[in-house]
Amino acid sequence: MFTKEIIEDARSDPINHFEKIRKNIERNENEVNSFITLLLDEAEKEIKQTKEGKLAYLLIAIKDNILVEGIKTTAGSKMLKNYIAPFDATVIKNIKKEGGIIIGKTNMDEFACGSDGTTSAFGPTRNPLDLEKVPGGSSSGSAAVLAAEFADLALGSDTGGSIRNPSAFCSIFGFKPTYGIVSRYGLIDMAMSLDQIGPMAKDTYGLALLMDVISGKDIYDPTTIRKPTKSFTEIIENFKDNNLKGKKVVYAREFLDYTEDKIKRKFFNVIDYLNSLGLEIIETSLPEIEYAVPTYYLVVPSEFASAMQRYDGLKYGYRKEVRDIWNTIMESRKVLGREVKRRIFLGTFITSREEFGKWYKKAVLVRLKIRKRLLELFKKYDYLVSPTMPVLPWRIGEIQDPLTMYQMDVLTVLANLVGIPSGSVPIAKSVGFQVMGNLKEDHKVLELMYTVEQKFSKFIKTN
Amino acid sequence: MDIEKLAWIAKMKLDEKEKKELKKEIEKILETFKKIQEVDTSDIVFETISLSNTWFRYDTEPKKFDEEKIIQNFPKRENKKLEVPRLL
Repeated sequence: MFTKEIIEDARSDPINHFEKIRKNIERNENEVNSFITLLLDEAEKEIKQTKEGKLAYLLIAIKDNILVEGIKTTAGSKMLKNYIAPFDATVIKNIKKEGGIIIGKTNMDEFACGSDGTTSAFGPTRNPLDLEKVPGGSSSGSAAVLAAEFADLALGSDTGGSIRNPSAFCSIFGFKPTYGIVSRYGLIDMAMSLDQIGPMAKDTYGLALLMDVISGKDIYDPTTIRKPTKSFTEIIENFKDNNLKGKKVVYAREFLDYTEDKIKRKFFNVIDYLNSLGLEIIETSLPEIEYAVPTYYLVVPSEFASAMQRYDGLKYGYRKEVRDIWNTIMESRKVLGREVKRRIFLGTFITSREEFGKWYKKAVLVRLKIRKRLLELFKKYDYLVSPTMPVLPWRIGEIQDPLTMYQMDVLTVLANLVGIPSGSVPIAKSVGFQVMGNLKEDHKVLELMYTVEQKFSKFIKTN
Repeated sequence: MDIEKLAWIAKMKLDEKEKKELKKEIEKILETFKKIQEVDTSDIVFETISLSNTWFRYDTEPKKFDEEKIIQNFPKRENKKLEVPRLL
């Protein structure tokens, strides 16, 4: 079902709607492993109460690095396996205010460190479209619950593609908003200059609906900006294809050097279609993309190593008590997974006094150069597009080499490095079309996503 | 790369096998990433993050948290007494 049908179903008979979702979960969750904490009993109580608002009676799954008061929040790590969130993240407060019901906390790569959903301390999530394959990551559970129809909408977080990558692999819709449009208050951060909470849904309308609820300035997050005056759903509802006639869509030939042939063909089908609608298509060169992954994977561990200092087993989190405080910290941190440790070590090394200039400072300079280049591009063009992922989902456990895994983010990290909005539309099974737009032009990105959806995304109804 | 020193700064205890493997992996990652050194950034001014959006917090009393909710996550406690590991 698509979002408008879901809303109708949920509002006409909330209990029946909830029971359908519950049955899906009971039947298939054991295989998919998409939830870390299921809140069926709590949701059942909530569904029986009168709900009002934009999300009334809708069942929403939340990535397990976003705090929900009184509920376990693990970030996919043993370090936080017993951590109970003491307050609601701002996005959660907004969802509850609009009548949304939290159905569970979803599985994810440990502290969002991963691109395929396999680094979670609670076991890998499986792709509901093919259980042998990865669902993408790090918001693996949030994408899987939508593909498996365990929830109506979901929230993820995106630091380098963590919403868009699993959205592509699970054939759903995902959106990373402009940095600052959605509050990060109550998000367990990985790299605070890149992290962004965003919506995941079965269509563009669902993304717009959640954006209406979660976006806006928040006094608890000083990087937030005001939400646009016109609502996102209104923009989608009033949208007509010919609104985009004459808009300029650019893609970089280097994007395609990294992309599998099958995905390239699907990508060009969309390009041809947009051309037929009267959009101007331009091919350009963006050699900077070669430096995007190294830049990203130098900036992220630097911020991550700093953010992870707080997990020492003293104030909260896992504690393995030994003879003194120092050894207690060291022993407690042993519980962290391999990829988390790798990033902490990398970040600690490149931010050390001796290495700072060579690695961290250089990476920040290259990031600013990439940002400058992309923002110049948006002075001339309306959209930058690419496939979301360069390859199709791989088998669980197939990729072990960290560098190979990092390279999978090559098409998605640009949006985070620059802070621009970017979304993924499913155009074939496990293939996404990525749309990027200028800063604060989130509505424009959703409009193009909606246009692509009308022609290419109907197949997901029969998944 | 002095992996022992790094482990100490990162407050991490690793066994010998892990130390060897992590050192090798990080060196390989940096070897691949050294290509960013070739990017000409002479026209870029260093700033840790472009924070053009950032504004100052309002000068108001911060919200109060329920004390019980905060200390519920303390790893070891007896009622309101919080137990910390030995310092010496």
